[in-house]
Amino acid sequence: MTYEMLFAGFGGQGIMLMGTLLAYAGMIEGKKVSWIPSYGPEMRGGTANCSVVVSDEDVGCPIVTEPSVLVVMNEPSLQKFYNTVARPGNVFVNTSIIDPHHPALARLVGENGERKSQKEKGGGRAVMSENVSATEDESVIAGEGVRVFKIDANRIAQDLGNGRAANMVMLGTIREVTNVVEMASLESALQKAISKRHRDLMEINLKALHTGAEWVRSHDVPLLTPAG
Amino acid sequence: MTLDPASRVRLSLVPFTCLEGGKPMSDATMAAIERVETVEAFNRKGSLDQASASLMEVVFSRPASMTDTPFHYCPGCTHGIAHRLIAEALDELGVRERAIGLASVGCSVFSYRYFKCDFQQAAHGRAPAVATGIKRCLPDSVVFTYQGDGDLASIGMAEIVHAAARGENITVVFINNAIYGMTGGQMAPTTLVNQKTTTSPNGRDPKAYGYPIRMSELLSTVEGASYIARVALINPAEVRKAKKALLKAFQTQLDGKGFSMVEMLSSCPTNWGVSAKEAMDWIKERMIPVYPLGEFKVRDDEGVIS
Amino acid sequence: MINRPEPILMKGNEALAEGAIRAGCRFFAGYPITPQNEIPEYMARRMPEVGGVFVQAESEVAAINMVYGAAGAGVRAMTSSSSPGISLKQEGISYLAGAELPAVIANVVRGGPGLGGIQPAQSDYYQATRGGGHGDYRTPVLAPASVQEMYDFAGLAFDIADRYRNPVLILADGALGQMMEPVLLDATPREVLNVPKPWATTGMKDRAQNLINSIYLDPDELEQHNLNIQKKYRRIEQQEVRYEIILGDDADFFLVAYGTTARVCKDVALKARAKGMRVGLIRPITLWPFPSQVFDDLLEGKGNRQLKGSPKPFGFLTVEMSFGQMVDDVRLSVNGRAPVYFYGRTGGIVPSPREVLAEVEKIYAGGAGKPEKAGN
Repeated sequence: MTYEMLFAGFGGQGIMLMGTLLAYAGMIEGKKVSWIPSYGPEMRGGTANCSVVVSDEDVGCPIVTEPSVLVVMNEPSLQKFYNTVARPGNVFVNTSIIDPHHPALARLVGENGERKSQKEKGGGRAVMSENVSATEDESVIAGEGVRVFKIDANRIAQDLGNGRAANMVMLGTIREVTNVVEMASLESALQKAISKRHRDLMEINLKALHTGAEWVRSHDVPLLTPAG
Repeated sequence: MTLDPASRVRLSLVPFTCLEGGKPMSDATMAAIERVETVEAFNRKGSLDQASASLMEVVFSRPASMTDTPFHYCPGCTHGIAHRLIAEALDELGVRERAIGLASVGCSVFSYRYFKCDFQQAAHGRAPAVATGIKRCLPDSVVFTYQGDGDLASIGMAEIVHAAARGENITVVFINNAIYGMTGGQMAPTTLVNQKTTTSPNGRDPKAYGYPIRMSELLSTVEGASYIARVALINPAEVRKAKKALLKAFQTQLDGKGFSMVEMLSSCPTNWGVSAKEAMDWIKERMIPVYPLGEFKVRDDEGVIS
Repeated sequence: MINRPEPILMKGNEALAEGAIRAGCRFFAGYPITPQNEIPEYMARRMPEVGGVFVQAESEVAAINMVYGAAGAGVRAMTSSSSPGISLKQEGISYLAGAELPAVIANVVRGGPGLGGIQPAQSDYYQATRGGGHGDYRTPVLAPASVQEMYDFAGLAFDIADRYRNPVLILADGALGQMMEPVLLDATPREVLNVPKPWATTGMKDRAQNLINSIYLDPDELEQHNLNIQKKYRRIEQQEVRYEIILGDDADFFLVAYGTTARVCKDVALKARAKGMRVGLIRPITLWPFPSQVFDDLLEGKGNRQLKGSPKPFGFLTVEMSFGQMVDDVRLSVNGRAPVYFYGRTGGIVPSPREVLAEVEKIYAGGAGKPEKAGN
C-alpha cells in the first residue's frame, strides 16, 4: 500500500508540520516514507505545500503530482490542486477558511455547478445525483471515486481552546479516514517533533488529534468506490 | 674616522639586490663596500689588524628563512628587499618552522622559491581566503600572504576586506607599486592619476579610469583590523621602519589580536620605464604624497586602537 | 549527539552535512544560496561541537579558496552551493585539481541558466563531469538518489578525494536537498579512511619545504604534470565506477537516469511492467567515471553477473531534468548499437512518472520517432 499525500495551505497554518508528523509516524511503524516541501519565496506568505509518501515499498518519486490524499487549508490551494486528485482519493477541506459550497468541491465528486443547500433538497441521507452521496449534514460528499471531507477545523480547534491546532484536527480526520498510520504513532511523532519550548501545547495538540478522529467516527462516511 | 651608521644598512641591502642604478654592481662599488666594512670594523675594533681578523666573523648573512635561489626579479625591483625583511622577521621571531606563506598571482607568484618555509600558491586575489582556511585549521601556524596591488586591491578586494572584517589572525604583506608588473605594465587600482600605463596610455584620467584606492586607509576603518601600516622601501631609514612595521604586524598575529597588514610602497622601474634610482625618487615624489606613510591602526594589548 | 542505529528523519541537506562531519570533515566554508542553505546552517551548529571550523565566506569564490587552504593544510574540507554558486567556484576547483588537493564540493542543483530558479534540476551535468573550470581535469562525481545516500556519499566522497588527492563532487538537486527520509546513521563512529598527508603545509619544522602549487611555466614540466594527473584519472576510471541496475534481469528496454529522476524512473519501470513492458533501469551513481561498461555488458552479453542471460535491449531512454546532457554519455557508451531516446523536463520541473511512462509506451508502440527527436 502506498499513500501519496499532498498538504497545502497558507504559510503559518502548520502545513509542513502536518506532513512531517505523518512521515515521522510512518517511520516509527517501519514504513518507507518521504517528505518534501515546496520551498523558496512562495513559502513567505503565499501558499505552502508538502508532499508525503508513506508506503510499504521503497519510495520512488517523492514529489506527489496525483495525490490520493489531498489536504487543503485555504482556497488558493483548493483551486491549484483539486483537479490533480487520484481516483480513488480523499480530499480534506478546512471549511473554516474555504467556502463549503465551493464549486470545485462539487466538481470533485462529479457534480456540475453549485450544489443546492440541504434544506432545499429535503432531509435524510442526501442523494445528489445517481453517483453522488453525502452525509446528512453534507460535511462528507462522495462520487467519482472521490470523497470530500469538509471540516470546520479552526472552529473545532477554537472550541478546544486554541484555533491554531486546526492542523491537528485535520490530521486526526486524515488518520481516521485513511488508516495510513496508527494514532499511537502520531502521538509519539508529536512527542518527538514538538520542541521543548512548546511542550505546553502538547495537550491541546493531542486533544485536537482525537477530536478530529472523533469527527470522522460521528459521521456516516460513504464508502469509497472506484470512479466510473 | 667614523662612518655614517646608515652605511651598515646599505651593506645589508646592496649585496642583496647586487644592483646599482638598475645595472649589475660595478667592481668599484664592490670595492667600496669592502672598504666600508673594513672601516667600520676598524671603528669597532680599534686597529686595522683586529679589523681584518674580525672580517672573518659573520657580520652579514642570508637569513635562515631564505633559500639561496637567485631572485628572478628585475633590476631595481624592491621585491627582494621585501622578501628579505619577511625572512628576517621570521628569523627574529623564531617562527620559520611554523610559518606558512601564501604566494599570490603577479611577479611574486614564485616567491615560494625564496623562503625556507611551507607555502601555498593561491589563485589571483584569493590569498586571504586561502590563508583563512589554513589559519583556522592550524591556529598555531604563522600565516602570511604576499600580494601585489592588482591581486589585493582589484580582483581580491572582497577577500582582503572580509578577511580583515573577520579579524583573521593573519599577516598581509601588500606590495603597492602602482602597476601590474607581471603582465606588462597595465593600470592597477593603485595607479596614480595621470600615470601612464599600457592600458592608460595617455595617463590615468579619473573621468574614464577613476581614482587610485588607498588600501591602508580603507582597511583601517574595518573593525577587525588590528595593525595597519604603510611603509616605503626607498632608503635605509625607511627600510628600517618597514622592518619594524613588519615585526609589529607578525607580533600582532602572534598575540592573537587579529588581522595585520603592512603596505609597502615598492618600485617597478621596468614598467615605469625609469632607472632604479629614478624609481626611488618617483616613489618619494609621486607616490608618498598620494599614499602617506605611517601607522594607520594599532591595537594595543588592552585592545585600545590608536 | 545522534549516534543510534534506528532511523531518524532528516533533510537531504542535513544528512549530507552530518555524513561529512562523521567522515572527519573539520572545515566547512559556504555562502547562502537556495536550495542548499541547510548545509551551512547545519555545519554552523555542528562544527563547533566536534572541534571543527565553520566559516561563512564573503562569496562562493572565497569559500572554495578557504577550502583550498584548509585542504592544503591536511584537513578534510568541504564546501557546498547550488548551481550559480558552483559556477563561481569553478576557478577554485580547477586550482584544487591542479594542485592535487582532496576536497568535497556539493552542488544541490537548481534550474538555470543564469539566476534561473530554485527548484530541482540536473542541468549542471556537463559542468560537473567535464571538469567545469579551465584546464584539462576531471573530478569524480557522485550522484545520490536518496537522503540515505546524501549521508553515505559524503563519507565516500572524502575517501575518494583522499585516495586520489583530487576534488570530488556530489551532484544532488533541490529535491534531494529539501526532502526528508529516514536515515540510518552509523551506530558506531564511522571508520574514516586515514590517508597520510605528508605533503600538507603544516609548518616546515625540520623537513623540506612543502608547497601546494599549480603553476608550471615550463611547457615540458606542465605536460609531465598533466600526464601524471591523467594517469590518476585513468586509475579512477578503472576503480571507482559505481552504478545500480534495477529490474534488469529480464529487461528488454532500459531507462537511464540518476538522482531524483532515477526515483521517478523506478516508478515508471514498475508501472510499465504492470502493463507488460519489461523495462529496467540503469542508475549511474558515479557520473564521472561514467559506467560505460554496463552498456557493453548489456549489448554484447558480456560477463556482468547482474545481467547474465538478459536479452539484448532494443533501446534506451535517458530521462533527465535537462535538455539532454547525460544522454551524450549514454550515446557514447551505446555507440550506435541500439537507439537512444531522450526525455527531459527543465526549469525546476521533475518529470512525473505518468509522462515518462507515456514516453515508454510510445517507444514500445514504435511511435517515438527518431531517437534523437524524442522528448520535449
